[in-house]
Amino acid sequence: MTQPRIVAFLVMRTTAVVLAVLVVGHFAVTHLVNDVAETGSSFVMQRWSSALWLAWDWTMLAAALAHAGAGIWLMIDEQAPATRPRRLYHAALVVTIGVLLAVGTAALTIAGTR
Amino acid sequence: MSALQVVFVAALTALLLGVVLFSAFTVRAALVVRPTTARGSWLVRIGRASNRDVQRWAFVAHRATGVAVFAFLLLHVFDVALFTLSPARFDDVHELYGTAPMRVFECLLFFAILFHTFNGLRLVLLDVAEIRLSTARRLLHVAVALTAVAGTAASVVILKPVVA
Repeated sequence: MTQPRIVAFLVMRTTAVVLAVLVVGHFAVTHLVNDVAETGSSFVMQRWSSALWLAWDWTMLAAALAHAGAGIWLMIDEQAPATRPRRLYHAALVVTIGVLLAVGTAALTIAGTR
Repeated sequence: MSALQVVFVAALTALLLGVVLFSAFTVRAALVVRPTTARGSWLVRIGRASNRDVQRWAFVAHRATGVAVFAFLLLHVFDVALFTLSPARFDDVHELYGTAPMRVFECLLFFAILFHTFNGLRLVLLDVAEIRLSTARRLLHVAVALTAVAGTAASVVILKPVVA
């Protein structure tokens, strides 16, 4: 195993345990504890007025993107062994993850400072 | 339907189609590896191979559910980010989440999340502890059972408002 693969391996496992709590908890709060029809803008406004929920949501987003990014990175290694297409797919993945992290972080920052 | 709602439904449909295609691709890729199962159409081979190595099907399911959940996240980040642009536009799109078809989708999504979570925790456990193959298989049965029970219970809660 080369160094990046070890990093990806460790990122997968640590974020997995974090996400098991955060994602299942998130789904439970938005679909089971509250009905999904009641989780409109007033629900979001109330939720994001708490620093704890902002921290929950950002940690969940960052962990999910790291987890998915590492997983898909390894999947690309497996499915595209030729160097050139592999580099292209890796680049596309990094851009996608970067855009999602930027959009999510911007949304949470704006909501948190309002 | 508003223009934003149309965009949301179109994007979700495209993502779902992509997930189905990817899953079929992953299943096929898992089948060509082993020559003993390489006879007959690939749909027929699923049944034959599934009795042999359950772990490989756990791998296929783990990959497919992982991609499916990520595909939804791709859309979900944007529909939630709408809130910061305009709460009214967020509500416009969010209204869809309460409709019957979306609730069915949410149930399926939760089944995917649950399987990926329980099987994922099993895989982490296999990495950190010395566990025999037979125990690993039993743990997979536990993961599937937990997914079925928790997923069904959650589905009842999610679908109740549209069934009643």
